[in-house]
Amino acid sequence: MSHDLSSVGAGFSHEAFGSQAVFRSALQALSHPGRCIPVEHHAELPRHGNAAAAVFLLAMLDADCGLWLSPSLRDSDAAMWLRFHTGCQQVEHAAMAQFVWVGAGDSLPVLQSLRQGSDECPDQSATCVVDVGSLSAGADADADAQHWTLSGPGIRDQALLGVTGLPGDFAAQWALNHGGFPRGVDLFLATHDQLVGLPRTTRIHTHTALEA
Amino acid sequence: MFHAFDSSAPNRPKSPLTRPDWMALLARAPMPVLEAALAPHSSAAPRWLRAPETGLMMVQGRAGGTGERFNLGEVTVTRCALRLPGATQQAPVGVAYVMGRSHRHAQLAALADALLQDPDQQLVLEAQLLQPVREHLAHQQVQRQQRVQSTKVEFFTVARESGGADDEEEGA
Repeated sequence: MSHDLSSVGAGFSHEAFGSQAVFRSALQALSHPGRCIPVEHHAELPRHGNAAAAVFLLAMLDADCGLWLSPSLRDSDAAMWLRFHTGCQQVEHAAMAQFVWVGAGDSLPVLQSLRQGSDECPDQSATCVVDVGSLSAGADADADAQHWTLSGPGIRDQALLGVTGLPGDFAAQWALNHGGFPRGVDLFLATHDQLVGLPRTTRIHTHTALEA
Repeated sequence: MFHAFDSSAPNRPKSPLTRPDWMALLARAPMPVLEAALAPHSSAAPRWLRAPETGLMMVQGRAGGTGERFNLGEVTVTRCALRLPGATQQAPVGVAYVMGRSHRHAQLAALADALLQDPDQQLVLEAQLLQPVREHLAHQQVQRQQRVQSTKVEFFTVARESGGADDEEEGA
């Protein structure tokens, strides 16, 4: 693990305002699952990892948090950047982490293997941030995107979401995660400027692009 | 205020200056010396990596230097990290951890740390900054030793009384 600071950039230009603005975005994202929430920030970002995911973790992590990074991020400047600014602990196994960040192209750890919390303390589960290629609300998604109809608390009737860059079995894994309520992980999908929240209460119905 | 290695400094072979050495010196440098030596560099605002922040740190000690660790107490520490004004993204980072609440002291110490990582600057700053700091610390140590010396108590032990020199002192 390197301790070289030469590649580390500054964090939020104003620590309190910067992290509060991102926290507000994250709150919005979880309150309205499936809605693309823009993330605004003034931070010097690491070269690796999607920006929205990086600033989300910068705002959330502190010295008590265990963070697991997927292989493409583990030894990157993003890891050093988060450790320097937040003092978080980088953990070896995803099952031990409170926060999990999966870089674009890395395989997603099985959601059931992450911390699920307990029936008494469902809040002690992991929060998972996944870098995705693109996010689009409604029916204007890319042809190679997964098309979802979301429903659940925070969604009036239903919401449409198109996502690229997730594994094919994601919806099946998510159904298991949703089924374990009140236990289960909460998930954020991140691009370079947007966050989508998927709390464990959200149901995903998949359909092909043609049907949409 | 003094490190174990300070006392052996005069007769220690002159080894190349390492970063922990100069960071320890800068953390204890008096402000007038820092301000004077860094005046050409300290006017422009640095590129902050971590703006100065003050907090508490637990100091741990070991009984007798080798025994069990114990918590000695908390000290107020100010820390910061910066790059030189106008430096690039990959430029060396100056870091400072300074006892007390002086943000300015932490900033100047970090600035000096960033400059000292450049071998050319190191020669200049060695003469203008580090040597005066060493002299200041040595002077402080001598003063403290003298102050303590004045309260020295001579106990009359069997070993003392048998010595000739001490008997004479006693009689005088």
